[in-house]
Amino acid sequence: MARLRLVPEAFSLVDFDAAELSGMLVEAASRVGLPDGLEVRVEIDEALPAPLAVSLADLVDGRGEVWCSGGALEDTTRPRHLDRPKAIAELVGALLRVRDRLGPFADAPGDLGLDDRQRAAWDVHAEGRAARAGVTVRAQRRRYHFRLACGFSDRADEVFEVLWAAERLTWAEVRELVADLGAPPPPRSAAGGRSPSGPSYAPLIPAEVAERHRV
Amino acid sequence: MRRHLPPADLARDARFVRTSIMESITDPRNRAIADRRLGPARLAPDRPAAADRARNLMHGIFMGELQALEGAGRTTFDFDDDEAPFALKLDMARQCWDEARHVEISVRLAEWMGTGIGEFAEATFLYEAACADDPVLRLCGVNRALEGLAIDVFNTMRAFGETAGDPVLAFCEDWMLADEVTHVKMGSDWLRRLTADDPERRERALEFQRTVDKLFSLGGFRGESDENPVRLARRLRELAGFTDEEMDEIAALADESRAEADARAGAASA
Repeated sequence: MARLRLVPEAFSLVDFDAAELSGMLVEAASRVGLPDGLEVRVEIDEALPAPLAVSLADLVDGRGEVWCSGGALEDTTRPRHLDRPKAIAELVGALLRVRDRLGPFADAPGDLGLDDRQRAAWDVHAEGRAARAGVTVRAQRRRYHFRLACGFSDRADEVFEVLWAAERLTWAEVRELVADLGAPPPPRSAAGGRSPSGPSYAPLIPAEVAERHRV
Repeated sequence: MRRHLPPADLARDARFVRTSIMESITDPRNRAIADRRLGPARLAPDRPAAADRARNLMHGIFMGELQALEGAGRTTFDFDDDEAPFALKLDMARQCWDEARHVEISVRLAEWMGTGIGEFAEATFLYEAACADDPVLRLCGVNRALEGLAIDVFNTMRAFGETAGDPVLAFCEDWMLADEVTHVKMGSDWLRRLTADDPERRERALEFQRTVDKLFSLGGFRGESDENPVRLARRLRELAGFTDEEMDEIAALADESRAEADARAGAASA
């Protein structure tokens, strides 16, 4: 059994029940099949509401380090309340990517070092596996995320299907699939504020969290 | 059939969940977000969580179209011909036709973006603006203020689709945008005709429009800087009959609304 730790121990800005969420974390870890004894710290950032659904899943000094916006777990019809299926899907996806980093993705950059297309591709690979493990996911939502990052093209859709259906890819394979798309990253709008190489979600990450995830 | 249907009686199935605008205004996370300085709030494909923000807005558009259909439909029925001329009702019926088509387009677009009907909560403030007793107030509150907002939102979403290379979103928003300009123009034309000899009534209607415009600026939701997710579409509004002065006033109301939201968030955290 992995050693899981939820942060914070109580929520003040949202009506999330930490005990319920801890139980969901155990359920997610069990679905993913994390190695016995692996220490994983999962931090929920309750200040960030839906639709700001963002997460980081890294391996730092051999320890799983997950950071997740509260909005990624939030019921979009009842603000500040937990959406159980959505939260399970988000936690399973993050823990799958932690597990990936222990094996075939060991050479992948940290989440803050991925570009949007690489991250979108990895998320598709994780969510496809989650769906086959019986987790309720929204495939069309994931497809739209992927298209937004990788382009609205037949080729991008073919790559989506490969990523979704694959049971075990390596980081090198995912990187190559993305590179083969041949499409440049989406054009930058005048409102864009990110650094040229960083992921678009970087501005949402608090400095202390970014520091912890710097790998 | 009953006249002047209250928002609570709108027909909805079990998929829809109601929320109040106050819930988002008083959300204790607003202050924390303001303190984070997350960068420009403008909706663009390279901004954080762009896909989910766009999906959320698309669902809001769908709800807005549905309520616009209901509002225009009520105006064809709620008034006798001496209160609202038959030609005005005919325009409202024409608008219903457009809105029904927009509802269908919005449902398909939401599905395209991975959003299901009822995935996000519904606020009924658009329909509430269509419940005024005076048809001229409805024309100002709905056709000029809310359909004006629709021009701003559709123009923003069209730009989002174009920048992202999403042809479905860009084309659909463009088609709907063309209709919205005519809806606003209907409001502007009927306001002039119905109040030509009644300046007091016109001023009441315009005051109601200002109230709705401010409410729909939603603490900085719509404005003219990168801090506003949705941009004021000046050229399209001009085509719909807005004067420069009126647009300046809307921009000022948006700034005011944002300042008030910041003050509220500051007070909540103090």
